[in-house]
Amino acid sequence: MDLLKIKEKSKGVYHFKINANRFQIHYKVTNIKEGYYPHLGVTAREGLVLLYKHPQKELWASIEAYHNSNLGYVNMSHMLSDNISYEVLLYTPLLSDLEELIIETDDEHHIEYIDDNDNPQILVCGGSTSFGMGCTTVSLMFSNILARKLVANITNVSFDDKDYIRRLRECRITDSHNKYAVGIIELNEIDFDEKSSTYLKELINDLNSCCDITIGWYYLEEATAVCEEVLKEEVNNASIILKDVSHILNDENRDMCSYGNGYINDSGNILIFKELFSTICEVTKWNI
Amino acid sequence: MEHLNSIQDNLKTINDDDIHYLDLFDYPEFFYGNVNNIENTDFCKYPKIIQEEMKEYEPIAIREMNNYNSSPTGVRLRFNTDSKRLIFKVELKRKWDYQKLNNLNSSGFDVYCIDGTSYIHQEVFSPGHGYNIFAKEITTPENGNICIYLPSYNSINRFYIGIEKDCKINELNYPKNKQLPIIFYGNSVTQGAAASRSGNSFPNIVSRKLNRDIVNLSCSSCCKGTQNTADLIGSMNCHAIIIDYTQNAYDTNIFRNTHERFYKKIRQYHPDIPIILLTTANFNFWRAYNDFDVIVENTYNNAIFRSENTFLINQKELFNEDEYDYVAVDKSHFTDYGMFKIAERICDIIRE
Repeated sequence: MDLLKIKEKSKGVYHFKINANRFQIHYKVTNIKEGYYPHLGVTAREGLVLLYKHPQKELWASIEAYHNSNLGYVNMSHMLSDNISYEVLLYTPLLSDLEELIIETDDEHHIEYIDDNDNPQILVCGGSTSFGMGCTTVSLMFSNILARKLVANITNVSFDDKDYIRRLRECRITDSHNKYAVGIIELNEIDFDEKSSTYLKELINDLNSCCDITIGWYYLEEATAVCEEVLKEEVNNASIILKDVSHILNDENRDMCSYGNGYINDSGNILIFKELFSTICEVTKWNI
Repeated sequence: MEHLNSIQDNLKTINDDDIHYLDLFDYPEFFYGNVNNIENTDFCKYPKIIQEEMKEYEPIAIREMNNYNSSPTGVRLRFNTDSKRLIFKVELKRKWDYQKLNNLNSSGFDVYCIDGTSYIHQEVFSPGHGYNIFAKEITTPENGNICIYLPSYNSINRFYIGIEKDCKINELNYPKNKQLPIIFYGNSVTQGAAASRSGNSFPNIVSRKLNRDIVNLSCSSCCKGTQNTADLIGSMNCHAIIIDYTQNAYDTNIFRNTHERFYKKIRQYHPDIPIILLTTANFNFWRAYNDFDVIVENTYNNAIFRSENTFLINQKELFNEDEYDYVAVDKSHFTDYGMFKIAERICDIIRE
């Protein structure tokens, strides 16, 4: 199955069902972004990550993380017998493109692509944390954990750029006319100058026009607590739920969640996921 | 951070006019957790006899022993200084990243300020993918007490510290009652994969939480529970021992024949100290590891029957099954979230 022919060549996730406990992934990575990324795992930069849903337990678990030098031989026989059908999620890299992505099995088994478009739609937009910077694998991004736990389809529009609010505004997310059940926006490191304030207000208006519910989340260090007040004033009149996740940087969690260089690691993403998950469940009343 | 072609290069972006450099390999007293601290500072964990034993196992064990035996896993550089600026010049063995490890872990120098018994994270630095020689300037915390966790999955060929002229650097010992180390013996997980940075492997977290010295003898793919390894651990004076010998056995029968024998041999040398046995760190429902866990539990139950000072941590039971997709980056290698959970449980037992 040629996954790139089924779903347009974009960064993200592929979801399929297979009944072979051994299969191969042929993939070719191109346009690997050069740079200094010691806080990002190789597989997140230029590899693949696979998870499967255990058919009896109905829970997601890891298969393997692959680097671009691998041909992915997947051996599931340690976990599952052959001819048992199970779902797989395949996450693509953040800092490179895929030129080839083919799942191969023998003729006696079948692969079926799963279209998630009927799942609740969630729009995630933001800066470097929402982009995935700081993660060892793409599957550990808070947005992707949310998608798995909420059984939702995530559209992630994020930029590894401090000026991400302007870039998000310039994206004109409403132009696609897509509608989302929930919109999630990262509100970190915003410069509250006149231009940024305008962009932020316009962006929140855009989100409110295409999302039933908009949630803004932020973490602030003690020294920048004044920003919280400014932030609240900026979005005061907008219909947005503000979620403070600054506890990821408190004395109890900072060592576990941060690199100390402004980036949040896998554990930070896990704690952000937990907060957003509980907020989304509370406001949407989704029966998870 | 300045990348260099040679460690002798003059620095271009960091001003080191008033700095004098010390070759840290001439000061083994600043390193804690180094098995070979007395003779030299090469960070080698295992003597030749144990290195050679890997030839009896699969090729990956031989390769990983060559790669990681001299990796300073769990070793800490601790000192006090009145120098306000420090410049490190480092030459690492390996330039490239590993598949499941952040560079800040595999090649990371993770800097903490020690304030009383508290460790306050300052920063972490590493050269990045494709580089192995670099200089890095850091600002000394006000009290001058520094602990730096060394790379988990790389070797250090050359290691210099630059301090301001007329300033001093002194040993920073653990408190007297915390100097006896906890020994960790395990696989790639125990060696630190896949914490986000070197200070966040669970043995290193334990060292901080208890403010106690540790020795981490773990080497990816080489944790075979051999009798020579038991002799090595038996020869070391220690406060407690953590045995994370499971998945590297590869085969259930081999594991059944070696786990309790390995434990008993260590127990002969250390009849009274706490020994903590860990079950498999497996989070993708790998069926054979359930049998491994039964074998570990049998070893534990037999030890309890003999009234030995032995404890068991079932690593799977530390988490809900619906957390398995983010506890580890793959089937076993913990994220920091997992690392902190297992570290906390070990600390609870040792505190008791």
